[in-house]
Amino acid sequence: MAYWFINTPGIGSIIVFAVGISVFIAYLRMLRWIQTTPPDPDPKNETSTSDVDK
Amino acid sequence: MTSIPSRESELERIVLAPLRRTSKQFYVVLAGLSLVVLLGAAALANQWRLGLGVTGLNRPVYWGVYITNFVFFIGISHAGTLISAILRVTQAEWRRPITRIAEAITFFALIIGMLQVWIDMGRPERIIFPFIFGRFQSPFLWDFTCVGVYFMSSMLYLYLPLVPDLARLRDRMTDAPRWRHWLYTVMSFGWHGNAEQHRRLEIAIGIMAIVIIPVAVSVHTVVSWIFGMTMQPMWHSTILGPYFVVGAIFSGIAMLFLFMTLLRRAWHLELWIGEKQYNYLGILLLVMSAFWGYFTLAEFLTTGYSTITNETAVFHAKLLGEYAPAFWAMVTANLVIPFAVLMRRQGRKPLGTFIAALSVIIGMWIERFLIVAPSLTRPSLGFMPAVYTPSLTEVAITAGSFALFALLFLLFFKVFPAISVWEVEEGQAVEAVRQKARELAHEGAQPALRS
Amino acid sequence: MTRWGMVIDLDKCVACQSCTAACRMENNTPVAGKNQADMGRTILWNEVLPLANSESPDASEMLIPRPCMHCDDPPCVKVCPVQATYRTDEGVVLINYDRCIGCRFCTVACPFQVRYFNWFEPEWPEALKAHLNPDPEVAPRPRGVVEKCTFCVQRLRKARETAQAEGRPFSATDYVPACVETCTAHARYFGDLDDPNSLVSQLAASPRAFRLQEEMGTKPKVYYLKQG
Ligand code: SF4
Ligand code: SF4
Repeated sequence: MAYWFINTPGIGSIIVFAVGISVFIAYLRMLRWIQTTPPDPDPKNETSTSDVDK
Repeated sequence: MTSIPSRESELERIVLAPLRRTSKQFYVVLAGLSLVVLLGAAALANQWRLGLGVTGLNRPVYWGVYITNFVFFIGISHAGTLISAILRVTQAEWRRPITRIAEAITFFALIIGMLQVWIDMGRPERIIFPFIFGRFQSPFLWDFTCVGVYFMSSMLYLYLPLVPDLARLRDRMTDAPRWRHWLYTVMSFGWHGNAEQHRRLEIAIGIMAIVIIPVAVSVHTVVSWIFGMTMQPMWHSTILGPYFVVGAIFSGIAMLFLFMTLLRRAWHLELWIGEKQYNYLGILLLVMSAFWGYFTLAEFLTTGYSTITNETAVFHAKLLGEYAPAFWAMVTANLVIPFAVLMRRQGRKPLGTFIAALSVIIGMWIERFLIVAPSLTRPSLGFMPAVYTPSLTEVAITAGSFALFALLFLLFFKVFPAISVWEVEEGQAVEAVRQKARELAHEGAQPALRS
Repeated sequence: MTRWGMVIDLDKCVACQSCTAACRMENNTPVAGKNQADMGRTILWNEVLPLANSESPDASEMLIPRPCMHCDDPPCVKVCPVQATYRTDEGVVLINYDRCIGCRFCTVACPFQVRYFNWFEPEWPEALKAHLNPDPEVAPRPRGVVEKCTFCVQRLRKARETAQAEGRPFSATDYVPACVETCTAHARYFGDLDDPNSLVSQLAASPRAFRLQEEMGTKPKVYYLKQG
């Protein structure tokens, strides 16, 4: 029986951390993917501030 | 565009104003909230010093107000994300000015909700034990898993749409205090916002909007299973999962109304949060109220029609017994008042929705309480019904929790813009294009067809 | 394997509650005091409960001595997040006081309400303090943890030690919990349910035997013999 799997103290913690850490890493990579977008050669195209500026 | 004299658009000026200037009222509210939080903290310190005996809990009513708060705040947390996510996925244009507020509610409600579990523990210093000796058979572990994922997801979901605004703040608010400028700079992680980066951000937001819906549903289902997995009368029910989720969204929308209206007043956002938002969100609240009523009817009719003694004892305690005033207050607050106010279009205005939302918030808290406490007072073994009266400590800690929730929310929007500026601008652009298209179509069409 | 169980003959029981008193002295349960007792916070591992037979006003009341049922399929063990409560190989459900986080999930999951919580630091009047059971296994539990009937595991341990010291094999009849030993009416029996020849397993098979809330399916190991 696989009862030991849900019964052993510690395995639950491992599941919590495994799920948590993998989600965390996935999210971090998503952020990193956005961050590392190469900037345009022409800074005119950047829209980090309002269009009214230009 | 060249003719605009100010560097900033009106939107920016209005939205960023509260970040720049601090009014006297702000300090008054801040002080008031802090005072209540301190009161709650003092009560908590006392509880930790003496033990959980300072509450009104007893045998067999081992769970009370803290667990009620836990369920309630986790429910509130669905406000945000779920609503903002669903509206985003369905491309509802009117969502743009209110998504940020909704997402912030989610994030802070989750923090307060998780805090309640800790407050409820008999040995708070052993809080790490579930992370060392966790047994996965216990529904608590399911909770830790789901709430943990939900916490990270909602944090990211709040953060992602904030990034372009942060970059804007970084560039605009150079006169801000150093720590704040530093904060904006670090948090905008070198955002330059070219077309490609915008595309990536939109993709990420799109993914998160879809991911967060099942995660949010799982969270409240698992919260309900803490009760559903036991064999207590009226807890052991298969309807509990969906019932909790519906109630969560219901109370979430109400909380959104509350904070949206308050912030609109305080931050002068009337121009952006207006008729459309109140009308549509009001309809949503009405629909959720109907759903909630349906689930409540299903649950209570099934229980009340049966003759299972354990269950009918709880049923009678709720409908006719000592919990009857609370029960009927809940029905009034969750069904009668929202329907009376929101059915008419006139009611779906700031004042009307505020009243309805306040009533729903109170009603939903009572609902959570009526799920937790009455079942425990009528144990199936059938000895004398127990009595549970919350103590002053519990009242103080609850008040402190609500105040902390409001305080976090307020401070957050003192530092970050309450409206997602770039998304609203995008919305304006979309609207302009549509307008143009309509004009073009109109020119091409037969002149007599439309006036 | 031994499977400890108890049989309580309700025909013999006179509801004198000496089992409750003996349990308190054996297991060092604290004195709650009047205020706390009125709130329903007494800790009585064994309790004699009046249970109504039915809803009707002329229904007779059963007086039921109620220890922990030591369920074979215990819902309390299922829900504990840290395995602070567990079932031993011999079927006794115990609590690890150093592990319990005081979440009280088990107390709401137990259908028999036999689990008690330490709301405050345990207290005794001076006169009683001198009479605490010195056995370290029943040392007063700290505040904030759950406790309940253990079928007097400390007595089981002592019986095993005695048997070993005397150089004979341990027999299931070597030990009984304090309530069984005390019972003035000899209404309680204790022993190995897995041994078909033991008194308890024979009594448990009697047509008079029933268990509380059998329909819950938790397989309690405390049997009652019907009154009358
Ligand atoms: S009676 Fe309650 S505490 Fe005892 S084993 Fe059964 S469920 Fe657990
Ligand atoms: S109160 Fe203690 S024994 Fe009971 S479920 Fe929680 S940790 Fe386990």
